[in-house]
This record gives sequence, structure tokens and C-alpha cells, in this order.
Amino acid sequence: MMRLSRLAAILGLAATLFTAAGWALGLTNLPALDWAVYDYWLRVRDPESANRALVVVERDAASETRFGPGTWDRAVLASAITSLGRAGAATIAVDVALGVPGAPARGGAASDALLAEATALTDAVVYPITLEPASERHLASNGNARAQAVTHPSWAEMSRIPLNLVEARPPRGPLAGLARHAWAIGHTLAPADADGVTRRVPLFVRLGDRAVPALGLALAAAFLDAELGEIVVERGALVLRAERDHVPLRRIPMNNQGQMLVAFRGAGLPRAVVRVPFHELWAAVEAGNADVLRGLAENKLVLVLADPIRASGRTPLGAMPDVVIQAHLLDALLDGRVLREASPALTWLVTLALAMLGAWLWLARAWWLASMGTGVLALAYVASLPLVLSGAGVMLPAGPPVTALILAAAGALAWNQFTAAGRVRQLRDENARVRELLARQEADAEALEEDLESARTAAARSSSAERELGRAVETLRSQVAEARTQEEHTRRRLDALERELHGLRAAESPAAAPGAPEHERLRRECERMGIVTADPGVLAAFRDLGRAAGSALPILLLGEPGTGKELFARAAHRLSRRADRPFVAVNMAAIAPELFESELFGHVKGSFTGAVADRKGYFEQADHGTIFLDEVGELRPEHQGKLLRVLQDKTFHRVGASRPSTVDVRVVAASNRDLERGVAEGWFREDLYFRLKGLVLELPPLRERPGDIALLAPRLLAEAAAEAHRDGVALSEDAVLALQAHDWPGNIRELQHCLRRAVTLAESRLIGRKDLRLSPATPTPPTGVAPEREPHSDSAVLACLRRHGFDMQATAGALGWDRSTVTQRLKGLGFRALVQSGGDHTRAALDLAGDPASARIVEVKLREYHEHLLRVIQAFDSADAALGACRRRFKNLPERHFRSLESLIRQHFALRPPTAVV
Amino acid sequence: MRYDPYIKTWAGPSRRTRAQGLTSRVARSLFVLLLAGCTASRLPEPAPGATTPAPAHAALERGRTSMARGELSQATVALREALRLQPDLHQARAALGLALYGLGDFDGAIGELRILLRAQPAAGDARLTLARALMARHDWAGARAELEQVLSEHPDLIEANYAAGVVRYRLGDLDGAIDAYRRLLAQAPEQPDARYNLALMLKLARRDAEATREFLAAAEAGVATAQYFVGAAYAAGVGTQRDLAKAIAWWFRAADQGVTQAEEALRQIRQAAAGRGQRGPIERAAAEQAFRDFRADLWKQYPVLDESGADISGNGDTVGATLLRRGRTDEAVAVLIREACALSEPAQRQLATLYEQGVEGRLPAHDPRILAYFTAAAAEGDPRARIELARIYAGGLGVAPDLERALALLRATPHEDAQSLLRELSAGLGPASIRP
Repeated sequence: MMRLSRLAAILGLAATLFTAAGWALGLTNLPALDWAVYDYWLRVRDPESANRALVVVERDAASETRFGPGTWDRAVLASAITSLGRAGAATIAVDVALGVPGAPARGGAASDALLAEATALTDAVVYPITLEPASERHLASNGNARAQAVTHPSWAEMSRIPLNLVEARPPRGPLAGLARHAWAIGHTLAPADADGVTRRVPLFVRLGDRAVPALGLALAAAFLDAELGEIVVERGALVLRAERDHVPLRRIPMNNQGQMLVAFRGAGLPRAVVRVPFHELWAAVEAGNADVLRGLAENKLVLVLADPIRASGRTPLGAMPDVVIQAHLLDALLDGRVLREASPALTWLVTLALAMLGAWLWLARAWWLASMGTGVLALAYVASLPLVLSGAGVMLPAGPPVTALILAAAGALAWNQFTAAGRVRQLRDENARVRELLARQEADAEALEEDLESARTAAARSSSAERELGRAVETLRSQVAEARTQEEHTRRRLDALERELHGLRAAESPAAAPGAPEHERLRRECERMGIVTADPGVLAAFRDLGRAAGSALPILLLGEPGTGKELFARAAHRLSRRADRPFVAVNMAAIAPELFESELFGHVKGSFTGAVADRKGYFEQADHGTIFLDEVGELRPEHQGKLLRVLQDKTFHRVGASRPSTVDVRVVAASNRDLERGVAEGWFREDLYFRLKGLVLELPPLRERPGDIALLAPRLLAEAAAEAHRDGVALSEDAVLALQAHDWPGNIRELQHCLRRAVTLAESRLIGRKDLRLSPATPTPPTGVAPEREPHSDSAVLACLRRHGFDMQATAGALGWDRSTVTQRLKGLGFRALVQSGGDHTRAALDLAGDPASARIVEVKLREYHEHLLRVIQAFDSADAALGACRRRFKNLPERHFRSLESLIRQHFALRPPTAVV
Repeated sequence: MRYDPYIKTWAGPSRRTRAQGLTSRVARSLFVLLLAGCTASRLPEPAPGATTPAPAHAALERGRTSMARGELSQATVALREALRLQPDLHQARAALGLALYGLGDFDGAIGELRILLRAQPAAGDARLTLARALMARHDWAGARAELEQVLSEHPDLIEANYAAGVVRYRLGDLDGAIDAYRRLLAQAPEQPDARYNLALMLKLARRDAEATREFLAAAEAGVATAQYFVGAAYAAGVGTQRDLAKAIAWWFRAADQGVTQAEEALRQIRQAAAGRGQRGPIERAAAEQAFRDFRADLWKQYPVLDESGADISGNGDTVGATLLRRGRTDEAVAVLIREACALSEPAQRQLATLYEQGVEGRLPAHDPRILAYFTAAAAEGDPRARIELARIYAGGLGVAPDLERALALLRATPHEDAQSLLRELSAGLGPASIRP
């Protein structure tokens, strides 16, 4: 767990660093995602009531009728300012275009002077100034020189501001005269984000060597009696201090460009401000109605929006004039409930945490759980952003954490892939070692049990040495128990290793079930060859066939009739380089004995009666191709010799020919008989058997793979229906179950016939159990009962052992035997293999295993068996005595294997130096 | 000048913006000058004996005659005919440009004048007209370029300097505008409009002392807004000694001419004197004294009242009452209103009496001027005016009876007399209809 946590932390950190690098390069900056959440939150939230100190006097239709369209005479505004000032307005802001002197038709300089006079008399007027962001080109040319000519006392010196402010282009002319009388001048610049939406307002913009405050900020400062010329920036926030005693009044969070996130409260003007039409104000001004004016403006901040809209921006809540955006800023500043963007430290901390969590999920959990977890984590994070905004007023970005989460997940996945392969190799090795150990322990335990049995027998026979033998029995018993315990322990360890290996394999390919792709590929490949199966045993055989197909290795196919041997033979041909050459299938049982040579090797004209022309035999026909010798176990002994010669020399004589013929053929043989048994019983030549068994594939009968019945039956049924011209025939569920329960001694061929019969005879289109007309099932022997007449041949047992990786316990379980019986069968087979290999353990093991992967295990077992045998016989002076003892000790060994045992014992004594006779 | 829409556009008859009126006058005089120049043919006349086709000349003359009569449309027809007959007849083109300008077809005028100036670059009058046309089209930069060229050849040309002042200010060049007006005034010191504009420029440039001097000169010449600014300068002591009484006097003069800022300023200082608003006691005392001084100064405007040799200004009487006694009733009402606006309670009482009773044979009761005064004063919050107005509405004196309004006025007046009257009126109406 600690290791995983450390790894998750490293991966999370790496993902965060990558994200940060991407962020710096603009690759992982996802403003669309960030702002989508923020914009949504702004739209759906129900903002609390705004500060009621803000009064907005708006231009209206009645006023336009009175003062005309376009810009009004500034004398009107001068009167309004004077009246509002007299009524006790704390601060007045008037939206006039400062950079543009009054139009002559609208009062011109006279009205400007009146406005200036009113401004000076009121001493609480703040004006907006329309600035534009400066371009690089502009800055390089004449920007600074002109900017220095435009200044106002309320603008702080840039040298005192530790911020990287947005640079503004100075207005075209000098600041209008009236502006000089203003308490402050604020900009209305609100640059849009990359998506064209304005969400932030720069609290200051740089104009030459001065910092111009935002109109909203200037108004808030004027209203709160805060100083504006002295700017204090502390920990990413602007501190507004009281002008009189420098007490901090507001902390305004901002980014390093001095921009503040504006929490818009409603489309248009902030939702709860007091809105007054200009004509109402003007009526009170004209009438000199002090009461109305006081009620309207006393101790209030009055924003007069009298000019037509000059510029507007797109905000999350719709288009808004620049001045209205400033009104929202002002509203937030007065209210004190400001939003702030998460600091870089917080952003990256959250990003790191999320990335680490994501990495941990992928490292510690299954792929599907990790996928779900990552999705849930990402969604939960994005969903929490509005909550954080509402609760803490902090806007966390969505882009970097989500990006880092995905990167960390991808990194962890890649790590899993990278390390899983190595770990699998490591586990495989360990697995092999443990298997070897287990094999050794099994063999030891078996040997000990045999010794124990032998000692018991000896104790029963010899009363004189009873006590001594009893001690030996006890010792052996404890040794057996200990060996069994060790074996059990090893087995558990093996199980654990298997599980881990399985898990890692699953992690290696998270997109599908473990092994499924390979299984599916093999299944499809089989189907392409006409072999319909999903049975792992058949598929494994097919896989081996595919591997061996390219070589010249002879292939021996074993299996009951109708298990698909010819299909496998054809597949061996098609998968080989000889695929475009002839494939000749010869049923050896169908060839008349007298025609054997002529059929297989051909004849020359006149060589015998009826040989009216030269004829090529099957071998010549299959030259450069493949010859399939079916039912090879039916060959007569004399024919076996002739065949062996051809296989050895690749030459033969046509009947009647004086010169030999040479062929290059690939031999695939098949038999439904136990050729090993034939060798043992003498009806099949051993040398021919070894010549044929390059790769032995045993095809399991249909009854051992009932899953395939469900696959085969519909196909065969469809073929049968097509033959019988019956459409729409289908099998009932009951019929399928019956098919699967049947024994199928004739295998697929029998199944095919059964279905043909059913299609032909069934009255209904839906074939039921009765239509199948299956004979009653053959009763199977009860599990655990040893077969009296070896119903399972050595080859069947060997195949079962191979399927179970030579695990005695598993094989015994599969066969329904006890483990000892299986051990004895393997021991017998092992002795025989040792004899056949001339005592070469490795070769003998490979022959038995059939697969190099299992050869090592088998070799260990063979060595253990052999060593035990040697230990047993080493006390004897003669082979006969040893043989006699072995007959007693290995009494459960099948009789047929005693020949091999005898060979080994005699061989041992033959090689042993004679011992001195005392 | 009835045909001059440009002048109308430039200087609507606003009472508030005296500057516009001044500009209008200047523009008007400029146009007359130009027209005179045109008709006097400043452009070189064709040399005697030159081969000018007689029909073209005849058309030119017809055009000039029409212009002199103010028939600009006919003039353009004749002048275009002249140009058709002789395209290089520059006098005809100059006259056509001027006629189009007069008709308000600025684009047409600009086109004709540009053609002319390409052929005759030294035609200063035509260039000046072009500059004015460009100004009318709000092409300030173009106008400035033309004016600068005119001024480079004729630096003391009054009309050009005036226009340059306007244009330069419009382009934000305060110093340039001041320079133009100063040049103009050096040539024509008696131009109050130019002086006023110079004062405005100086004020906007925060050169207050200079501005006040110029404002004073313009104010004395009758420029209403200048009078307001002079009042403001006296009130604030900017560019002159602080003198609230003089400020009040100037503001009254400006207010008489309809300058609302002056009215507002008077209202403000009355509030201060009455102790309303947020002014301190020193300011209140200063305001009260200023009104007293103003009222005392009023006597100086009527020396004839003092012919008896007695000093009647200090005996509590008012100038208005004295005038009334002398039978100068119309004059008396105006002066009484002025005195009441200057916070004279006796004058206010006399006005109330005059409103209710009139003067037999000389002044009918319910004079609307007095009602307007009480209405304005009541709106300002003057308690006496409110009580009086309440009486007027309660009794339906010269107005439709409006008891609700009367009661509302009284309720909003925390004065003993007001509350007493409120009780009286409430008692007369019964408790159901009078809210406490």
C-alpha cells in the first residue's frame, strides 16, 4: 500500500508538472470548461440583495424627448450634479465622454465649463474615461510620451504598484478641462477573455507612469472615503484604506494583472440597485424640490448614465455597456462580497491532489473500477466548483485539475502496462519454480507413502523387528504428514501466484476479459478452417497445430471418430507453406491390402494384370504437399514397415518400377486407436509410432466439450434443413439440453446424423427432445472408483495430465480418481519414456509433456520417481531381487509398465559395479 | 438672415446657453461678411475687354442679385447656369459655394469650394467658407487644416481666428484655442463673445485668475453665463476677492437671463442661510450676511427712493414696499420677489398680502408671479412659503382648491404655524378625512 501510495504521488506530481507545462504553453488551459461552470453558476444563482446605497439615474425616453437624441448638453448634467450635491449625495458619477469636448450644438465649451464648475463645487464627482488596450506596436511608437501628458491626481504612480497591469492606450487629446476638477477618474476598460466574454475587470490599468483605477473602484473609494493615490497590495489583494486614518476598509482579491472577477448580479444593472429615470431627477432639479432630491440622493452614491452607450461588452449574463459592468464591480465592492480566482498555489495543490487520487485509483483498483472512479472524480470536481463559488467565493479552475487527473490516470495505466509484463514474467518464473517444488514435494510424499506402506507391510510380516519397524513407520508417518503439509503450503502459494498472475494479465489488457482476445482470435481462426469450437482444449490444440504447421514436423492426430481429425489435418496443410500444393487424404482402413502398394506408391504399366498404364500413387500425388494418413492404426504390420521406409527415406519404388521415386511430403497421420497401447501390445510398430508422433494432438470427444454442442447444433441443423428444404427449423431449449446431456460416442458425425434425422422426421418446425430420438445415456462410473479395466487409456490420462499442467490433484479431480492412482499412471508412463529415451530424463520428459512449457515439471517428477526407484533398489544385490521388491512396493503400478520398470532395474544393475560378496 | 439654416443649426435660441447665442451672432455676422465679400467680388474680376461670354456674366449677376435678396435657391440655379456657360468663371463658383452653404447643402458647398480652391488657392474667403462647411459636417480636422492655411496668410482675420478657437477646442487643443481668441481680441477688443469663449478656455485650462478677468468683462457686456461664472468666482474667491454678496448679485442677474445654474446656486446659498442642508454655522452666517448685503445694495439701484434724504434702508422697510407706496406697482412686485428670494421675510409677507388682496386698481389679486415664487420657495423647503402656499391651496386662492396638497405641505413643515394651520384645517374637515 505504501509503495502504491508513493507511486501514485510520483505519478500525480508528474501529471501536475506536465499540466503546468501545458498550462504555460496554453495547451491545457481550458477556459471554455472553466468559464462554462462559472457562467452557469452566475446564471442560475439567486444573488443576495445588493447594496442599497447605489442609485442609478438612467437615460429614458422622456428625457430623450426633452434633451434630444445623442449626447446631451452638458449644462443639463451640470445642473443635475449641482442639485445632487446639494441634496447630500456622497458621491456622484456621470457617464460623459471625457476625451471629447462638448459639441458646439450641445453647448460646446460653455457647457463643458459649467460641468467643470459643478464638478469643482460638488467635489465628489467621479468621471469615466474611455481607454483602449495598448498594442505592442503602439507602445513601441509614441504611447508613453503621450500618456505622460495625460494624468490626474487620483492616479497613483506606477512605481508603487507591484503588479503587471494591463497597458492602456492614452486618449487622443489631453484630458478635458472638466476632468481636472473631478475627485477621481476611472477607466471602463474590461478586456474580454479568449472566448470574447468579459468576466474580469482590471482594477488598474497602466497609462504611462500612472495607474488608472477602474471606475467602479474609484467610486467605491470615493464613497468609502478611501485613499486612491496610495495603493497597497498585500498577498494578492488590493487593500483599500481609509483616507483619514489608513484603517483597512476592504480587501479586494485580484490576479497578478490586477484584475478582479466580477460577480454579475443580474443582466443589465445589478439587480437590487435603486433605478431612477432621468426625467424624474430632472423634474426635481427644475422644481428645486429639495425633499425629493434628498430622498433620492442623500448619503447615496449616484451614478448618472446620461450619455448614449459608447461601448459594451459581452458578459456571461448578456451584453452590457462598459459603465454597467463597472456598476457591477462597484456593487460587489460596496457589498464586500467579492469573488476571487484561486491562487496558483491552491490551484496546483488541488490539481496535485486530484492527480494523485486518480493515479492511485488506477494503480490500486481494477481497470473498470478505476475508470468509473476517475469519471466520478472528474464529474464530482466539476460539480463542486459552483458550490465552492457559492460557499467560499473562490473560483477554482476546471482545466488543470481535470487534465492532470486524466494524465495521471493515463500515466498509471501506462505504468501498469509497462510493469505488468515484467511482473508477469517474474511471476511465471516463480510459478514455475513453485510448480517444480510442488512436483518434487508430491513425488517425495508419494515416495514416503510408498515407503510407509512398505514399512507397514514389513512390520506386519516381521514380529521380531516390530518395535524398530514401528518406530520407522512412525517416523515415516510424520515425514509424510510433514511432506503433505509442505505440499499444501506450496499449493496455496501457487494458488496465490496464479491469482496474482491472473490479475496482472487482466491489468495488461483492461479493455477486455483476460485471455479473451487470444481465445477469440483462435476461435475465429478455427472457424475459418471449418472447425466450430469454443473449447479451450481444442483451441489449445489448434494453437499448437498453427505453431507446428510451418515446420516439417509430422503430426499425429488422436481422437475418437467424428472429432474432426481430418479438419485438423486440412488445417495443418492450409496453415503451412504447402497450402497451394496438393492435399491428399488417404483412409488406410479403406485400402484393400493387396492394393496397398499400388495405391500409395503407384505402379508402372504392365507391372500386374490390369496395370494398363503408369499410375502415380498417393505419395507422388501429394508431392510437395501434404498426405493425410487417416486410420493409420488399421495398417497391417507388413504395410507399417513399407510406410516406415517411405517416411524415413522419402523414397519408394512404384510397383514394377526398377528405379526409386523420391517425394517431398508432409505427413499428417490420424488414429482413433491408442497407438501407444498398440506399441505396448505389439500390434503397432514402435519405430513407426515414433516416426509419426512429431506433434501429437489429441482431440477431445464431443461429450467432453458440451459447450461446443450449443455452437455446432444450430449450424448443423441449418445445413440439414437446407438439405431437406425445410425453412425456419429451430431447436427448442429442451432439445439443446438433451443434446448436451447425450454421450455422443460417434461425436460430431453422430450429432450431424441425429439432427438430419430430426429435421427429416419432425412434424413441427421447432425440434423438441423427442424429435431427436436419442438413446438413453450410458451410465458413467461413480467418481473416485478406480477403473477395473482401465477405461481411460494411458494416452487419455496423459492428455488429461497435459491439460492440467501435470498437477496430480487437478488431474485426479478431473478423472475422478484418487491422486495415488494418477501418480502411479504417470510413474509408469515416465518409466516407459525413460526406457524409450535411453535414460535421458530431459528427452523423456519432453516426450511426455508434449509441450516444452511443462517439460521441466515432468522432468522433475521423472527424476524424483527414478531416484526413488534407485533408492529402493540400491539395497539389493541383484536385479531380480530388486525387481521382486519393486513388484511389492509398486504394487499399484499398471502391469504393462512393469516391463519398463524391469528394463530400468536391469539397466541399472548392468551398469553398477559388482559388489563384493561377503 | 431668415434663409440661414446653418445659423439655426449652430445656435438654437437656447436661453440657457448664452454661448450658443453668441456663436450664432458671430456666425451670422461672418456669413454677412462672406456674402458681402462675395457680392463685392473679392476674386479678380475678368479684365476689361476679356472674352467673357455675355450670357455667363448675365447669369452670374442674376445669381448675385438673388443672393442679395436672400433667394438662395434661385441664386444657385443662376450660378450653375453661369458655370455651365463658362466653367472657369470662378466668381460664379465661389458664389455658388456660398449659396449652397447658406442653403445647408454643406457637401455641395464643400465640393464646389474645393474645385474653386484647386484653381484659385489664394481665395481666402472661399477657404474660410469651406472651413465653416467642414465644421458644420463635424470634420474638425479638415476644418482646422483649412483654417490654419487661412490664418497663415491672414493671421489677424477675425472670423478665421474665431472659427479656429472653436475648432481647436473641439480637437482638445486648449492652448491653441486660447491663442486664437487672444489674437481675435487683439484685433477686436469689444467682442464679448470671443472674450467669453476665451474665459471658458482659460477656465477649462484651470487658469482661473485670467478666466475670472475675462468672465467679468463678458459679464459686464451682458453675457448671461459669464455672469454666472463671475458669481461663482466671487463665491469661491477664485481669481478675485471672495464676496458672497457680489456673487449673489451676479447670480441674480444670470438667473434673470435664465441660467439655471445661477438659480441653483442661489437656491444652494439660500439653503445655507436657512440652516438647511449640511453647511456649518459659519457658512450659514456668511450666507445670511451676504443676503443682507445684497438687499442693502438694492437700495443703491433706486436712488430716487432716497430723495427725501432719509435713510430708509435700515428701518426694516423693503425696496419693494417703498416702490409700492410710490405707486410703481409692477416694479414693486418684481423687486419684492427679488428681496424675498434674498430671504427678506418682510418682502415675503408683503408678497403674501399682495397675492391675497392685490392693490386696488393697480394689481389684481392672485398674481401668478407671486404664486410662482411661493411654489419655488416651498419646493426649496422654506417653511413660510409652504404655509402660505398651503393657505392658497386650502382656500383656492387663484388656484383650484386642493386641500390634500395643502395638508401635505403643512405636514412636511415642522413649524409651529404650519402645525397650527394643519390643526385648523383638520378640524374643519373632520377626523375621517385628515390623517394625523
